[in-house]
Amino acid sequence: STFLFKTSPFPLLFFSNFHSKVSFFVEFLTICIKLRGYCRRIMPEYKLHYFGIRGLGEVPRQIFALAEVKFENVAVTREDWPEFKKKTPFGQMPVLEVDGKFIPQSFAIARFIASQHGLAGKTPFEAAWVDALADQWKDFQNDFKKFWYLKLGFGEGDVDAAKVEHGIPARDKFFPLVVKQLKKNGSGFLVGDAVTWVDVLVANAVADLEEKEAGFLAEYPEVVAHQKKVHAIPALKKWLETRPY
Amino acid sequence: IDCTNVSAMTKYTLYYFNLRARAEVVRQLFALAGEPFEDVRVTFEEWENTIKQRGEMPFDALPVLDVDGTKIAQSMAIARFLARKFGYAGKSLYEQSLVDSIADQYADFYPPLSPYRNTLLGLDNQDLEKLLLADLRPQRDEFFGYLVRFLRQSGSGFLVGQSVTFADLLIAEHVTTFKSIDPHYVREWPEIEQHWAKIRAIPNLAKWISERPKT
Repeated sequence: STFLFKTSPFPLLFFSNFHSKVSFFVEFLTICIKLRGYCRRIMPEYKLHYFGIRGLGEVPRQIFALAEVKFENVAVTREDWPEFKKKTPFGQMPVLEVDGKFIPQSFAIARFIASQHGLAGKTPFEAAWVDALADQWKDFQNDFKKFWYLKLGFGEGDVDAAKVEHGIPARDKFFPLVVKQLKKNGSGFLVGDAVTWVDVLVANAVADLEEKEAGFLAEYPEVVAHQKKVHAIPALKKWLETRPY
Repeated sequence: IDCTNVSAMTKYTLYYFNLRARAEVVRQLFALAGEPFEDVRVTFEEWENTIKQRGEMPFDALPVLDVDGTKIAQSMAIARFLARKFGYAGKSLYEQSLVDSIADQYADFYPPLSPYRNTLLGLDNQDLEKLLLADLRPQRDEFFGYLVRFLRQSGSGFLVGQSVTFADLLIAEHVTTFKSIDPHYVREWPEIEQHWAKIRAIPNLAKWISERPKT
């Protein structure tokens, strides 16, 4: 213990003059700042801001869960939203806060986290195909939501008519492409031989569809099998069992 | 160029219609990078009756980029693939995510403008004045307001970081198209007009713009 006492900085602190005390303090502060910077680089602080629902926040949350990366799930209330909206890059959520900086748009967020944790494809080609499938899903969703939002109770209109006019055609345009890709790829995942963020995106949509309109994908058993496979991945399974909404 | 190594050069073939629309940002990336590519422009007939039937295109749609025999679909996936390769995607993961987010926000912004654009082009028959006041201007102003924030934050004249990215190309091309319909489209947005002029003045791009088919 005398060895520790003699070699530690504390003797300097207690037995030195004022000048040495100041330089010790400055040294200590510099080390603290460097350590904080280092910690931030290896363990960035993530806060995902969205409403307290699944919606567009769910896929980013699932990417974090799958990557086993800690994040703070911030549920913005309807009261707090108008004020927070002004701080966001595009006046919308979800928005990811990384060490004080904002990243908007759910796909940009998903890709940002996925890229850092091996969930965005293993080569540039694979990454491009993941992106392409995600955008194809978005095209599907833009048509499909004309039926789906009515079904969920948003807006005015004939749900059954919308199902025939928008829901079924959108489904039958998109899901054959998913089946084609699954068969072509052959690994059980959409791209490459491991799960990527587009598997999470599609599986989430499929689970939601099956939950609210059972049998809607009866003609696409491969798609339902894919959803089950993705949701059986332990990290994701755990999230699905414990998620807040 | 070392001509003995020609076989090692990547062969790019872009398939699209004779339009700017969804393929233009891809063509501009090739132009910026000074990379040669085959700019295949098909007619709607060829597409419907021949190419689509062959089932070669991954999602039965265009544009598609063929890279040494492997095809990639979806204009933004193609754009990001090339932009990352050529250095126009953003210089850090964070910058890349901002570039991606602007591209996605633009994709959200654009479709509601269709009625206005289509009416002006004679493809639709709606009340222009009503569309202008109720739809186009408010949406344009909201979107441009956010873009100006990006411009002020970067301080470089580019939307993200210190150099051109495909987000800049997308926005500049949008302004080009709408300016050709409405010459005063950016009159109330000087920073957007400045950005548009700056992007179009990039030498390789200026050359492409002057030489590209007029569509």
